[in-house]
Amino acid sequence: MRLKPKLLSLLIPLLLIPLLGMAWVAYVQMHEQTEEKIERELSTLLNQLKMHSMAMMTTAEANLDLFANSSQLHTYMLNESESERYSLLQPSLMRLFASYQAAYPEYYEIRILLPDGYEDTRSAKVQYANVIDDESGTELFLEMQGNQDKVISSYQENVDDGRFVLYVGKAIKLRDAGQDPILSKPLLRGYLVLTVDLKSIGDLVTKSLHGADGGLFAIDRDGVIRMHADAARIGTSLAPDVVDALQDLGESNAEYAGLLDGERSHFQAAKISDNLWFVAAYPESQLRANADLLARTVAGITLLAVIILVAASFWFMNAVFIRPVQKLSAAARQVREGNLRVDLDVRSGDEIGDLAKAFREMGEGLYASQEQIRFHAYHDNLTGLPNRFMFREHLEQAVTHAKHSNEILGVLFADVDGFKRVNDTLGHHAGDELLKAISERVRSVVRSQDLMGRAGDPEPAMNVVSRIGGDEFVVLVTQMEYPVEAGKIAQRIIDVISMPFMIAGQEIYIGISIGIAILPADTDNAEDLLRHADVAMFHAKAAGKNNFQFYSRTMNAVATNTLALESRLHRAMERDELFLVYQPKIDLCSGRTLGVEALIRWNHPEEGMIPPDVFIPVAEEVGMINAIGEWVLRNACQQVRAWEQTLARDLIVAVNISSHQIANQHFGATVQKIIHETGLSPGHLEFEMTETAVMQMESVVDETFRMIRDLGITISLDDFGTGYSSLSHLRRFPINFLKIDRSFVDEALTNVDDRAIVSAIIGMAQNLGLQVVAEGVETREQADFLREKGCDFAQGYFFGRPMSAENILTHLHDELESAAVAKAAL
Amino acid sequence: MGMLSIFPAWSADSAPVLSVLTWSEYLDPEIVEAFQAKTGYQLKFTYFETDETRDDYLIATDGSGYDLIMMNGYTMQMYQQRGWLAQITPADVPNLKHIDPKWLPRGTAAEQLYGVPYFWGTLGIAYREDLVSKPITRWMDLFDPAPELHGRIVMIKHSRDLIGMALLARGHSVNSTDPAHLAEARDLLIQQRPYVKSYSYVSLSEDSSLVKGTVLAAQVYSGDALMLQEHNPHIRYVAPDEGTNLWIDFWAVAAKSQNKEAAFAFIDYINEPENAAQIAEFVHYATPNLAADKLLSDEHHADPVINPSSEILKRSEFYNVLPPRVTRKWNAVFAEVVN
Repeated sequence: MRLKPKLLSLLIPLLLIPLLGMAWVAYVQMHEQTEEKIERELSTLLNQLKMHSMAMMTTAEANLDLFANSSQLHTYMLNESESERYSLLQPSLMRLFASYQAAYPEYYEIRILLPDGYEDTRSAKVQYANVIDDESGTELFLEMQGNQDKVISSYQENVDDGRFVLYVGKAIKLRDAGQDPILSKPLLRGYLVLTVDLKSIGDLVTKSLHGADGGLFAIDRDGVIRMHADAARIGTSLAPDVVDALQDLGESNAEYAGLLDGERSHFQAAKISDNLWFVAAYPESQLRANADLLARTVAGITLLAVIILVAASFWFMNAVFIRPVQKLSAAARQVREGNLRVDLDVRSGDEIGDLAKAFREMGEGLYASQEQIRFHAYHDNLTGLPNRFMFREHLEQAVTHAKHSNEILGVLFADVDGFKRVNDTLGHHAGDELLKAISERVRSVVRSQDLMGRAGDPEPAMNVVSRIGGDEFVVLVTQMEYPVEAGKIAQRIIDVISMPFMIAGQEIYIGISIGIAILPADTDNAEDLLRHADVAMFHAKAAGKNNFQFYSRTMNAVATNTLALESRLHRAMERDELFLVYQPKIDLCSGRTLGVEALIRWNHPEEGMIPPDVFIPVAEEVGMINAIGEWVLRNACQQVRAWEQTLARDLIVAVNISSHQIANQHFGATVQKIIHETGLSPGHLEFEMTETAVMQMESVVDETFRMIRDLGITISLDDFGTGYSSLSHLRRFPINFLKIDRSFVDEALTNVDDRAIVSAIIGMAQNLGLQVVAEGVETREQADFLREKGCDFAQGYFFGRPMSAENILTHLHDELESAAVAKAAL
Repeated sequence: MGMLSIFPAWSADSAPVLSVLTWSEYLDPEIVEAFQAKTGYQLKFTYFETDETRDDYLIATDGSGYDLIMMNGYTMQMYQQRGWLAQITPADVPNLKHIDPKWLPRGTAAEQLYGVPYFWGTLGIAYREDLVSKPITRWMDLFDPAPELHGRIVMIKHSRDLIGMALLARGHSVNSTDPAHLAEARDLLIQQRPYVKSYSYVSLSEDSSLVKGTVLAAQVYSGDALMLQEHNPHIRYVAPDEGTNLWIDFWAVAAKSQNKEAAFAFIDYINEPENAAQIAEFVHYATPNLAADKLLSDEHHADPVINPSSEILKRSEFYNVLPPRVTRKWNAVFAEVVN
């Protein structure tokens, strides 16, 4: 059994047992209280009803006495002439009764009965047929007749309207006026009766209803229900045994349990009169329902408490014991697996915390000593550079990574020329010093190479310098774009080593021979890379030392050429050997110059003009294209802006952009900067790109494209027709113009196929909403043909060769003047 | 001057008072002034709105407190039975000789009078001809009113006028004692009740609800309609097609009066032919005083409201005193409707 279930099986019963006990006690207590409360409420209700009824009866009796003393009533009762009574006195009396009833609406009948039971006068608040005039046989009348000296109060059903009412009546005994008040006895003249509506009590009964079942109701002596919230129940009878029991109860506060509508109920009863009992009934089912609800509530609360307590103790145990112990054992496992610097996050102030601290310290100690061992195992003692083993590890990793991400990798194998001589002449000690100095210089070259152009790289370059033998160094160069970069590093190493060393007070000149192997060009594994580089190093030694050699001969050739051209290009930029020429672009409809295409030229002081298709690929390969491109763009924009101001007209300038430029992540920012600096409207700038370049780039440069388009710069697709792209494919790019390659235009008038291609290109371009520019137009016939086919613009010797800035200004000036003349002629 | 000697001496600061219980607007104030000037008696008027109020006053005091009392024929019979009225002889009121005997209560000789006929008239309907869509001609127009009349009817708060006209509307006599007839009348009244604005009597002043138009039709006594017409010419009076009640008002002197002589003198004074004629012109009623009648204008004589056609008279009845237990039933019905 694990620790957690052990602890829990101890804790949970400890928590549960008292909790359940408390819940049981609470339930029993509350249940009893609820029952008592219900009983108390019912008995309070009954008492209220009783008091209300009594008050009502007492008031009615007092009012009856008051009414019976009215002199108008006496006048009426004493008058024995029926005609006077009814013609003169009765209407007046009835108005009096009506005024009583206005004050006491519950007295809905006020009646006078004659001694023989004849109903003499009735003032009724409600309309109904009077069923009987002769009341001599009614219970009320007989009761009044038998008790002439007191007020009779009786709950009965009013036979005239079926209501259960309170009758309050008394005999009216009067002495004739003029008779001696002492000698004569007052004679019975009749009875005054109030019929009291019990609606206000009925409302109390209805409103104090407990639930749908049971509640309050009123019964008469026969057990007929007289008041009930459910009107349908009024008039129905209770079972005789229940009635008997209830009526016996009526005087006391006792309870009775019996059946009501087939349901066992608790009863309390209050006797109001011998014909009215109020009964409060409470069905046991309701009690049970209450108890159930209570039980559910208590159970719910208990369950919640149990859950919370168990969860809390579970959490506590976990946090305080289980997790730290688990962490400790995990940490121990890590140490066993060799990870000595364990991240043991247990910092409590208790014994477990102490154990964790001791464990951490033990790990740190082990780690420190192991690190020392490891450093010695993997590093060269003399120079501190990684040794052969470590280099091999790095190399293996780099090869795996490079293969995975299609990168170019180079290994430089360097052997110091003439080290043995230094060692022999100046001693081991000086030899060691020299090796240290060499390794410093190599490292500095490699490190600076790391930093060059890679500032923002997310992944640090993993170039590694290692000493693998007495005077043998290897350099691992990763993340190259071109193999020739490895050559450049090698050249720099050669350059720094060629500089004199000061060892033991002496200037020492040495050289270094370097062999280079490239992955994937030379091999696909680490083993061969090292071997091939070693072989290449011997080539370098053989080639006269102090140089570098690629393992591949072709690579050697390329390296030599490009390196030469590259250095010359650098010089060209520094010495302003580069310049721009401009070729006009003509609107075929108007014949006017719409703008110019800027073209770069290189005038080498010794070699003369070098064509762009020679030096641009080299510039691209050695990464100078960005600098050159920026220079072209800035100069073209400046120049065109200046012309626009001089000539006071708009000009469009087209600049050729290489795919390398666009692929550069700073290209967009550079363009924005130049536009800002020169003040040229972006709408007057046009980028020309080859179809092939566009297709190569695809999605990588979508964002740059979008930025260009958003600036308002137009894009034209150069040399269209030579690539293999479909127009529909090209629609994904924000292209505005198509330039038909000069090769088609050349042959357009002679070759049927070319003619068809030109027509098709123009047609398709129009369908896609693109404008078409024809290149290489040399004759009027060609121009006419193109115009006819709907070509929009054209360039070529027919309209104007590429010209120097001065010449193009003159050209534009002339055109402006001739246009003015033409205009004036019109 | 000879008259003065029979009255007790009086002084300016304590003029003797004659208490008069009567309808309002039922005497010409000029005549009252003249009588006061002539006799030195001050007339103190108590007005009742309905017969029942008057009954209540008198029941409360058992017939005392008033010298002169105005009432109709059958009331006079009840009051007389109760002993509330003083006998009037030709010696007390010499001008009795002008009274047309046909207006005296049936079967009574001039020597056994308890009241002197004052005016006679009919009970009918006064209505606003400008505010109802068609003229009212029948009692049924009131008892089963058109929607435009709902809540704009005033019925007289008097059991005979109310139940009696309901009986007429149902084609029975105003004096019917048949319980079935009474039941019909009761049902008609209960049915009418929601549409009745009040059970009372319309005021005759210029602020009367009928003049203002808040009430469109009301049960009124004939001459009162003419008085109302003076305030608003759009008020019309009709003695309904089903027939109506013909009534006579009497002046009586209370048996318990301390000023019987002066009371007789007042009755005599208003029966001087010129005075009687002046009052008749003032209140627009037909006078039973033959000498006065001769002095009345042709206009007065010609007015069909004042002097209804013989045809209307043929269809009209006086109220008879009903048997007591019938009256009791009427009282119950009346109380049920009105209270």
